[in-house]
Amino acid sequence: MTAAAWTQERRRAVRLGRWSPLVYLAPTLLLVALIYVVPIIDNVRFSFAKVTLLRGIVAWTGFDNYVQLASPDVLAALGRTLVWLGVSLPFALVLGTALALLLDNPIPGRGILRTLIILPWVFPEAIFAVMWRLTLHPLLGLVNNALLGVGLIEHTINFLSVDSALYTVIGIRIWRSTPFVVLSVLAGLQSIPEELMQAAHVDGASAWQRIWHIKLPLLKPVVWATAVILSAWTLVIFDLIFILTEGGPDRATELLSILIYKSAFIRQDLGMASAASMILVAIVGVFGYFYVRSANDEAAR
Amino acid sequence: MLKMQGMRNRRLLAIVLAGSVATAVCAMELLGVAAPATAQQVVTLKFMRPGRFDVVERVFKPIVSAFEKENPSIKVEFVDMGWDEYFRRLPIMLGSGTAPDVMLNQQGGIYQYGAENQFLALDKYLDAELRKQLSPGLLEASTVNGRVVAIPSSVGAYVLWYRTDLFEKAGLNPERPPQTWQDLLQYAETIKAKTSVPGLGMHGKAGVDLADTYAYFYHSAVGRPLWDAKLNQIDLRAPGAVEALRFMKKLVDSPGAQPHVDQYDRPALRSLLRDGRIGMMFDGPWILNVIKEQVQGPKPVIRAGQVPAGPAGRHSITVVDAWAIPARTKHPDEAWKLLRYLVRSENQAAHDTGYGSIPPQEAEARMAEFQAPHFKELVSALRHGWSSRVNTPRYGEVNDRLPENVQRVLIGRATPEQALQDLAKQMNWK
Repeated sequence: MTAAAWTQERRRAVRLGRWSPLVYLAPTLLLVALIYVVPIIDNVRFSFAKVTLLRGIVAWTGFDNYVQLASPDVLAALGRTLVWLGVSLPFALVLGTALALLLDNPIPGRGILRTLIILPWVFPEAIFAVMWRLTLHPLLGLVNNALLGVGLIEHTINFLSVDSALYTVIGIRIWRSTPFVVLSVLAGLQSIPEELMQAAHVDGASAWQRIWHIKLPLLKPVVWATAVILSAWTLVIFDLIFILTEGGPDRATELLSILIYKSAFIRQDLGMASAASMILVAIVGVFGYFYVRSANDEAAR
Repeated sequence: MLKMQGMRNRRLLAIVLAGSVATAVCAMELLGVAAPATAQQVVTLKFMRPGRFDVVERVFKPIVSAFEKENPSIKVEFVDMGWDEYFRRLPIMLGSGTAPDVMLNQQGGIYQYGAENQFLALDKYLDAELRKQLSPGLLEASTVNGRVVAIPSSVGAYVLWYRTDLFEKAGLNPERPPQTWQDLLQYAETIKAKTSVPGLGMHGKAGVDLADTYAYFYHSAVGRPLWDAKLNQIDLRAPGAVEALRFMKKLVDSPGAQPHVDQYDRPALRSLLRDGRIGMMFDGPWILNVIKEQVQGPKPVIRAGQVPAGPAGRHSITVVDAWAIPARTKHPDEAWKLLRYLVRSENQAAHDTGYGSIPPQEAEARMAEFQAPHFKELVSALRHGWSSRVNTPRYGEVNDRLPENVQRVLIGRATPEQALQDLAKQMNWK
């Protein structure tokens, strides 16, 4: 082979080399495109159309579906969703961080306590929801029967009544999501250098001062990342609410996710469901942006 | 250079090998088409009866096995699907042509999708014998726009189920269940006062069951079926429409009803009745799977009576689910063969006793299995009942919004007038 031919071959090999990562990634990218990108594109299309499950796209409606999002039902569902997030998230974060800080110390029974705390995270959401529905039942449930048995109440309590249902499901959500915070913060605590804590101890800092001035500031990136991930998950929760209350009574627990389901599968108005789901996509997208930004900042540090 | 040459050769070899395999596969296909069929073509049908699969198998496997023996060129595959999944997936299956070849459909779906020509018209298949066998009015429930689109098979009607032991404890005559709405209220309160057990189980969870219950009260207060074919809506302005809701609220608020109605649907009440934790409840024959033991014997603990009469008379509700064949089935003749086999009297009887439904065929109703007193009451309820079906493509929406608004009244969040006005507004009705 001449020198020129050899150089040409080498150039070709280098070009192929540049493309080879893409070639290896292609199957995964195709899968991601099929599972994520294509449905999102379809969803956007549907949001500008009248769509039924039976016939697909029946007619293009422009922005009509988005205009319907300003209806009282949708705004109420959005409001409830923000309450759902705004109450459950801070409680889960505070409780989870406190438990993690507690479990970071060599307390007696720490192993059993860790297992018990993680337990709510282990069950699939649907089983968890069925379990709570039975436990809270006014006639047959464990909670009412226990309270009646010890004489704390004279009449059974309807924990899922129109006035209390939203807060009950928020409480269940807090119980369910706290273990995730515990696990994340515990992992973050492992990265805090022991020497720092020892030095602070030698300098006379109390346990509370060590937590407040050393551990918590160093845990900030972990807690922030956990908050962002938990927010995104909490916003799209469907099965817990659907199994517990189906969005009732009287829409007391009808979050955006339930409204989207009902629009799509009960009222068979996929256009409206798609438009409503774009709100969720937008909100979750905002959280996603903050997460990626914090991850990049952390990497830069 | 030699390395490059080697790589090129391997590439070439790979291409040649791939090409050879492709050619071989195509050749095999062509040979398959060209060669004459030597074995009888076997048609595989998909069959679905929504509900618990263990019950489906128990009831239908023997029937299907016998069918396959009689028809060796037809094989039947069972499709496992619960009712919730059925409601969600039916339009998708019909729209994509993947619906089972023979499937039981809920009455609303029969109208909704029958009107969209999604089910095969069965008029040309329907034989005179079967037409004669079916109780009057039932075939009409499976006829949409003049076409018979389904064959009735799982039929129900509301009756009042009640516990004779609680009646006796409360000093009430078990031979005389409540005859009017006022009786109902009084009996419920008497049972509660004398036995501490709620006299009446009322369910207030939003869903199709609540729509059915309102339909019974509507029928008995208004004196005509829930769906007004002329108006093409529920006539919410009919005198009696509000009265029906008002009376339901009165029942729920009375000391005789169990508390927290919004936490109960009809299935949840069945176990309460079985266990003696409520005295009475409205239900169809579907409760029989839960109270099998309690309805047996010369002195059954649970009996059935006709629904109490309202201001406009005694009018129960009827529910007619039916077998249908999707219009896009690839095997209509074979599917009809299977369907016709399923509704032979002996097989229909197995279906009815397995699931607890009213015999839809007159010959079947005369069989020994259906002579128990509660079956006689159920068959009788068919005669004065009207269908609770809403004949509209917006069936799903009606059965979402109607029970939601009924529930609002029952839990005190709206007056009956307000609830019906809101319903009319939501549905764009008069």
